[in-house]
Amino acid sequence: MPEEDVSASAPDPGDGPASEPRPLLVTTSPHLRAREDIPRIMWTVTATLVPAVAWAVYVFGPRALLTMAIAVVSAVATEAAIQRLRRRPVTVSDGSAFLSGLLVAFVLPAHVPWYVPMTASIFAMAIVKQLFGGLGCNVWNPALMGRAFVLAAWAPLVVSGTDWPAAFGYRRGAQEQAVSVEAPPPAVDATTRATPLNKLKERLREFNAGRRGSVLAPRNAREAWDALCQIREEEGTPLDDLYFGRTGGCIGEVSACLLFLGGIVLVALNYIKWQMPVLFVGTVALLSWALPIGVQGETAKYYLWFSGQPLFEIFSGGLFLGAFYMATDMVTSPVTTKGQVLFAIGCGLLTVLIRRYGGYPEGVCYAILLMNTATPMINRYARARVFGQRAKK
Amino acid sequence: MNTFRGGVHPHDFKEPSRDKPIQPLPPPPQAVLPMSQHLGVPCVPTVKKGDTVRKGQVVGEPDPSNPRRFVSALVHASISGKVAAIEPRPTPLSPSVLSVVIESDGQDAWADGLPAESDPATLDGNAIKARIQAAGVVGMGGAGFPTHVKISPPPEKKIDTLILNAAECEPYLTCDYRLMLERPAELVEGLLLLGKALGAEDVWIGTEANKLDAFEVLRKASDGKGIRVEACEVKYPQGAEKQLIYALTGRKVPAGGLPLDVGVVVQNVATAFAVREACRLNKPLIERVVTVTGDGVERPANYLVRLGTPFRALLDASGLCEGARKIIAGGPMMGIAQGGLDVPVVKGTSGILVLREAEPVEWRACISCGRCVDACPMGLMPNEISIACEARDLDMMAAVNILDCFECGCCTYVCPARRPIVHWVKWGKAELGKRKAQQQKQKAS
Repeated sequence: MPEEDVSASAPDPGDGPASEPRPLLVTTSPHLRAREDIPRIMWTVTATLVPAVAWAVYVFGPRALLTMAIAVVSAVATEAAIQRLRRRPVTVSDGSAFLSGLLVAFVLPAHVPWYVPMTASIFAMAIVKQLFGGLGCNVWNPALMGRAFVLAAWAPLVVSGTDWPAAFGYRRGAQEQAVSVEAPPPAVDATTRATPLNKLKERLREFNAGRRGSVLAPRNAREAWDALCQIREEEGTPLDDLYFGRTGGCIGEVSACLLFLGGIVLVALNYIKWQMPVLFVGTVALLSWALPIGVQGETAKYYLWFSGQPLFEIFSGGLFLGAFYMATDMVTSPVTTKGQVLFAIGCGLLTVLIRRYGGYPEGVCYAILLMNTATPMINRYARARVFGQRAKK
Repeated sequence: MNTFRGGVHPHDFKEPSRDKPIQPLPPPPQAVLPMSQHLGVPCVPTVKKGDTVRKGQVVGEPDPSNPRRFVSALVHASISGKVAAIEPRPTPLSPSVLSVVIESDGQDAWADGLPAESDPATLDGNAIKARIQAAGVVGMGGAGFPTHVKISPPPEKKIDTLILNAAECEPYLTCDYRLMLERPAELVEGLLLLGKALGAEDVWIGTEANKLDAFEVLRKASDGKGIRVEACEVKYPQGAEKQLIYALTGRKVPAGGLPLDVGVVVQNVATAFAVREACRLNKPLIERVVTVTGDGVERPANYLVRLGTPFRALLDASGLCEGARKIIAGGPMMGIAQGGLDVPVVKGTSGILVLREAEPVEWRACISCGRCVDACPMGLMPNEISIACEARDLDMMAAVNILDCFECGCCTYVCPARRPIVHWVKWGKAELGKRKAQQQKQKAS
C-alpha cells in the first residue's frame, strides 16, 4: 500500500501551536486527483442511457422494464455473490455491474422469457467478468458475451425481434402479433416477425433459393438490380422509422437517434473517443455500400457491387448501440487512439461480412467480440511513441 | 498557442496566494543547513561545532576528495551565530542528512566583504560562472541541479538558446509569479547574464497564459533587449524542461537526452534572480521566495525566507489550521509529503502546501481506459508501467521505458482506478538501479 501514517517528529509539549496536525499523511505525489473515478464514469454512462430506456418502455411497454430489471438485478447480485466467494471487497456500488446488466437487457428483445436475461447476466458477470479477475481483467465485453451465450442456448427467442406494440399503432406493424412468451415459436419465422435487417436478409435468401414470389427471375445484371430494388421495396423499413426507433428490435438498439445523443455526451465528456464510433459506423457504411450482393438469376448468380444501402445498414440493428456503448468499453478495447482506430475499422469490417455473407442477420455482437479477442495483440503493436525517440540527431 | 502533446488541466488553485506580495520573514533563531540539498556530490562541513559564523560564509563545500566534486554547490550560512551542532537532520527530501545547525546571535551580520555591488557588465562569461559557483546557485524549481554546471556544457555542444522557465505550472505555487511581478528588471538582468555566460543567441521567456499580467510586465522589462517573451497554454506540466522547449522552439530533446543535446538550456525564474544577486551584489544564495498556501493555512502568503528556516516558522506565520492532513514541500503534483514540521527550507523549496483532505488512496485494477496514455507528456504507456511494477517484473519495466518517466504525476492524476503509478515508478526505478549496480559489481569481480 502506498499509504503510510508517520507521526510528526518529536512533539515538544508546550512548544508550537496546540493545533499541530498529528499524524500527517505521507504519500507519494501527486497529491491532487481528477474527480473522475470508476463509479463516476460508470454511473454517468448509465445516465446517458436513460433516454433509450425511456424510449424502450414507450415502444415495448412495461415488459421491457421488467426485462431490464431482471438483467440488472441478476448482474448486481451475481457480482456481489462472486466477490463474497472470492473474499474480495464487494464493489457493486461502482455501477459497473449495473451498467453491464442494463446493456445485457439492451441487446435482448423485450419479450424474452425471464430466464433469458437472467442467464445472460449471470453468465456475463460470473464467467466472463469475475472468473477472469473482475473489472479490468475481462477479455470480452460481458454484455455481448451474455447475449452470445443465450443466443446459442435459445436462438429463436433471441434472434426474433420484438414486434411493435399495439399501443404504438404503427401502420406496418398492425398485422404482426407479439411473440408469445408462453409458447415461443419453434423457429424464426422471419418474414413476419423479424427485425428490419432480418426481414431483408431472409427475403433475399429465399429469393436466391428459388422462392421468388412476385419478383421475376433476373436474366442479367440490370434485372438483378431491379429484383433487388423490388425486394427492398417489399421488405424495407423507412429510414426515418429506423433512425427514430419506430421499429422492432432489441430493447436498447431501436432508437439510433437517442443512442447517438447519449454517445455525443460520452464524447463531450471525453469518456470515449470520437474515432471509435465514427470509424466503426463509417466502415459499415462504406463496406455495406461497396461489397457485392449476390442475386441468383435464372441461369447465373449476379454479384452487384456498390449497390448496398449504407444508411439503412447503419441505422438498423445494434450498430449505434455497439459503436457508442459496446466497442468503446474501456476494458476490452485498445488503449491508444491508434489501436482504437484499428479496432473500430475491424469491427466495421466484421459486421458487414457477418451481416452480408454470414448466417446471422446481425453482426455487430460477434464483430465486437472477435475484435475484443484481438485487443491484446492490437495493444502490443499500436503503441504510444516516446517523446523524442525519433528526434533527428 | 504554444504547447506540447499530453498533459492535464487541473484547477490552478493560485488564487489564495497570487495577490500576496513577497513578505520578508525575520531570520530564524536556528537555521539547519543540510549538506546535500539536491542532486550531485554532497558537501562536507567546513566549520566545527562551536565555531562562530557570519551570514554568507561558506559552511559546506563539495567533498574535495570526490572526483565529481564540480557537480555540487557550496552551502553558505544564512544567519550569523554559532555552530550548535553538526549532525544528521531530516530535510524535505530525505529523512536524514548531515546538517550544520547554526544558533543565531541576533546580529544577522554579513561576512567580510559581503555584499558588494559592482557592475556585472564588466564580468565575462567565465567570471559569471565563477560568481555563480561561488554563490552556490542551483536550479530552484525543485530538482536543484547546480547552475554553474548547467551553463558549462561540454565544448562539442553548441548552445544557441536560453529559456527562462516562467511557466510555474504546478498548481498552488505563486513564488515565481510574484518575483516576475515585483522584480522583473532584476530577473531580466539575471537572464541576460546567464545568456552571456552561455553565449546563447536566442533568449526566450516562456510563461503560461494564466499569468498574463506577469507576461506584460516581463515584456516591458525586456523591451529592446532581444528577448522573446511567449505565453504557452495553461497546462500541466508546461514547465517541464523538455515540454517547454518543444512548446517554444519545436525542438524535441531525444529520449534519454538532455536539453543541451538540442542546443538549449532552461533556467528557472528564482534561479535567474539568484544569478543576478550573485553577479551584481556578490550575494550568495541564502534566501528564497517560498509560497505557503493550501486550505490548511489561514493566511496564504509568499515569504522571502532564509534557507534553513524550519517549516514550522513559516506555518506559524501563516496560521496552520486545525485538521491539516498533509504538509507538502513543493506543489501538489510533484511535491514531497512531509512527516513533520521540523524540516528546513532548502534551495529547492518553492512552496509549502498544507491540505486538509488527503487524496483517495484505495486503488483498483487497471481498466485500460487509456487516460494515462493520453495524459503522458513523454508519450509513455503508464498503464503498462504500473502493471509491470505491480508484477515486480524488472525486465518489463525497462521494456516499457520506465526510465523515461520524470514523475510529473499526470497519469496518476487522471487515473479513474486511483492507481498510485508514480509511487510504483519511483520504486521500480530504484529496483532497476539496484540491479544495475549489482550487475556491474558482478562484472567487476
